[in-house]
Amino acid sequence: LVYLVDDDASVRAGVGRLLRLAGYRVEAFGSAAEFLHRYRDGAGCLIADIRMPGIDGFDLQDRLRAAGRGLPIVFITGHGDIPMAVRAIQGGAVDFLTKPFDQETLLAAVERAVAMPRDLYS
Amino acid sequence: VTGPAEPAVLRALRVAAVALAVAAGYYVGVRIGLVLRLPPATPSILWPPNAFLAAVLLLSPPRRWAIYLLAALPVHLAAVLPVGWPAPMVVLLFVTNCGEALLAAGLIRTFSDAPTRFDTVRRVSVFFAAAVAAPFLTSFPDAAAVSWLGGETFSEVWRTRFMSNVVAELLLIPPLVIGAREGWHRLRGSSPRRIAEAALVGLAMVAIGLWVFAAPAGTQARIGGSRVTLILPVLLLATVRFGTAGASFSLLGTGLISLWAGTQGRGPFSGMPADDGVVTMQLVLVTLGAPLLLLAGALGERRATREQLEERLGFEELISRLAGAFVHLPGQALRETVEEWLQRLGEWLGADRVSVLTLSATRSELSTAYCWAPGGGPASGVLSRRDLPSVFDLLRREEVIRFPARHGSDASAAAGEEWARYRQVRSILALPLVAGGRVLGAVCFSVEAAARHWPEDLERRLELVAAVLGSALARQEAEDGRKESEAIKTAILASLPSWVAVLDRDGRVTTVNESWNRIVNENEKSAKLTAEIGVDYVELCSSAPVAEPAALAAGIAAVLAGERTSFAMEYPHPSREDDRWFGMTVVPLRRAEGGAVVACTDITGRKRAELEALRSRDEMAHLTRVSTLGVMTVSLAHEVNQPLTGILTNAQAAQRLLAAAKPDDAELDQILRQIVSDVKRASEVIRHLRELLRKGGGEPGPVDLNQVVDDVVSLLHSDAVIRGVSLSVDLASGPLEVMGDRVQLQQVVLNLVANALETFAEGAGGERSVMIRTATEAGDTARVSIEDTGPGLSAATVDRVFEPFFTTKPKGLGMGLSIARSLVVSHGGILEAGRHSSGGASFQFTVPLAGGERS
Repeated sequence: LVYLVDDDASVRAGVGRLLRLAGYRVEAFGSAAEFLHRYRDGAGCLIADIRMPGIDGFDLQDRLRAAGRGLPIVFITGHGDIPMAVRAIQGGAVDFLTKPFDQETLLAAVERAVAMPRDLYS
Repeated sequence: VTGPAEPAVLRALRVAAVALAVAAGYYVGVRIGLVLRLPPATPSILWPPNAFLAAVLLLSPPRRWAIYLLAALPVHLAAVLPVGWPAPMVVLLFVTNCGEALLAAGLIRTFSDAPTRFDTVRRVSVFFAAAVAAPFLTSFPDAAAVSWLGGETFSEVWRTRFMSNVVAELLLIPPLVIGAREGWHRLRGSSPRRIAEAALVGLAMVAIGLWVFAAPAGTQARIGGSRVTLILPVLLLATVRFGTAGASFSLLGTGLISLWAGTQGRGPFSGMPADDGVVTMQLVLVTLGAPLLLLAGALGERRATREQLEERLGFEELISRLAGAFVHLPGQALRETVEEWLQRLGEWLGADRVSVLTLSATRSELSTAYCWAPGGGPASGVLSRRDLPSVFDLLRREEVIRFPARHGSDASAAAGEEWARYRQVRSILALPLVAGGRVLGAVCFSVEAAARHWPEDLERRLELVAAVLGSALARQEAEDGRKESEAIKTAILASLPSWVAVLDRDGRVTTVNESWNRIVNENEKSAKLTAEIGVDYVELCSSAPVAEPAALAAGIAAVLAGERTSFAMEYPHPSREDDRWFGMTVVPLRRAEGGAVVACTDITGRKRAELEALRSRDEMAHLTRVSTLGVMTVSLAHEVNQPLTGILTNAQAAQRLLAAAKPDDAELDQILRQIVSDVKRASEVIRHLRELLRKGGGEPGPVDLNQVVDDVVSLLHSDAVIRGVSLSVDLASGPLEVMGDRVQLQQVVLNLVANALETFAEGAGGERSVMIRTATEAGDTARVSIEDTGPGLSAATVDRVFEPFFTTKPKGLGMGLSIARSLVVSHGGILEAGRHSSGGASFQFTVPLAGGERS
């Protein structure tokens, strides 16, 4: 199961479709708040945009960790710089992808995330 | 009233001379009195000394009376003692004589309004009463003395003395007083004809007098006393022709002749017993004299009234001629006319100086504008408020200043007295000159030698003079002002580099300045739209070599017709060497006959500068756009990367689908749709970017401000997200169409919204939002406002944000807002900065809606 949080509809549609065709079950959300509302603990991984109105990607990461609801995260962002990537990885993210990205890059990152042992995040 | 100062020695000499004359006169009087008596009785038929003394007393001030009476004492003693009367009686007679003179003079002085004149009924009546009362009363002590010391009968003495003195006073006082007072002047001032007439009447009087009174004694018996009446016509003639003087002198003559004849034993009364003859003669004289003098008084009164009336009429005529002279007076003749009239008034009034004083603009000085004095005294002079503040105060209250006062003393008289002392004159009258409710100055009459009184009716008539002079002064002031402004206007017109022409209401050239003439003469008139005087300018313009000659002609015609308050046009004039620009302005002439002023100027320099400024502003605007976008690269990349991500992922998903054994066509269709939409979205962003990065403005056209805001918001959306600022929009319903340059308007909005986003510091708390609103205002204006909840602008900043190079940002150029404002202004709008109620900054600009009235 892959959770997808991005405020951009085009991105949600394209990424969601690609992951489904690659055999993943995908649940997409337009904002972090919506995801936090609907998310029940369980297996899978989270693909999240960093710059979003309201709660941004890093906030979401902090909140999940603080609540002890560990979930491997792959960040995707419209513009990435080194400090941002460093912050994401230090926060425990699996990967940090800059839009637009190739399907191999995405699927590899998701594969790694899903394979992560759950207890690493608990 | 005291006379002008006179050295004491001279005064003493004068008094001594008068005293000597008194003595001489008294002596002569006594001699005549002693001759005219019927010895041995003491009282004479006519006793002149007392009347002479009374006349002297009437003519001299009371403080000299004692001197003059004492001067007569030695003469009295010298003349009377030789007669052989006892000395004490002689002295007592002197006392009673003096007493009679004092009594008569005192009574007349007390009851007559002019003691030395006998020309009204009242004055004559007072004189009669005194002339009878004084002898009546003083004859008692006199008779007592004579009867006691001289042994004569009291009643006899009293009667004779009383009668002789009454006759003396009646006959002598008027001619003595009149002769002394005005004799010489009157004689000198009379025409030869008048003198001849007087001589003839005198001769007739003497001839008839002699015939009547000096006929030989024998004839009297035959004709009786009836011949006496024959003297009456000549006396009446003298009275009617020569007034009091004629009456009194002819009476005196008649009296002297009849008395002389009486003493010679001739005349109508010679047949009677001596006493009766004397008394009859005296009674005849008194009964002749009284009505004649009264008649003279009545005639004098009538003449005075007539003269007064004539004077008044003459004065009215003078004033009406004065007013007439000023009505149609050409400005340059004013000075001579005013001076001529001041002279006439001065001569009429017997003034020593008549001047027109004008009040200075500061109202602190009175300067002599016009002046007349008989000797041509000092023509100019300035009176300062410091010297005579009360005079200024009264004049400014439009009050008359007169000295001496008419009744009692008042503020006017006090100020007048001060002024009179300042000018060393004895009387002064100043009337304020008022025109249009404003005090312009005063007209001032002064008399040096005598204390002239200013009767009310005279003053009222002089007020008319003041009114005429006041309006003349006002006219002159206006004339001077007009001339001055005329001169200034001519000078200004001549000095103008513009070529200026005045058109009449039909559009014909009537007046031109030098520059205009030069152009006409240089044969450049068609190019520079000038023409000779008399040419129909509107017609000329309707075929002028400009882009819209019809509009030009219509504009000028509209100004001439009063439909427009001004018309302006700029037009290029291409030539081989260089292109030049000219500007024309037409404004109406605000005058009854209408017309307009046309001014043309070479504005090539200004026009070039304007074009230059426009170019450099466009370059600057481009630079700011580029720099603004440069700052936004990150968010712009984000904005493009989003659809790109969608496209890429969708495309790769499609590849996967196609690789499957049985591709889902519906899914593929959806993928393609999404790709198309994402491509459109990305290209839109690129298009906006390119538009903004393009250099120079395109052709102006209709622009929808709502669309402009949408475009800018789509560019800045990511920037807002990155900064964590919520960007909301509240657009007016329906398109907000304005005429202008889309890029320039986009730049304005972009600049304002980007600024708003930048005000939020990284990670600062609080509400972070920017609101963009569009609305219509007053039906003809579009308003766009951008409000943020940031830290806002300080009061000092609000005033300076639009200044070039003013910035609060560390890396700011300080040009953004300055350029934004010039772009808005070039669209005919206003860009303002303010503080939002939430504490944040608020910027708003207006642009006139398309289709509305555009200038």
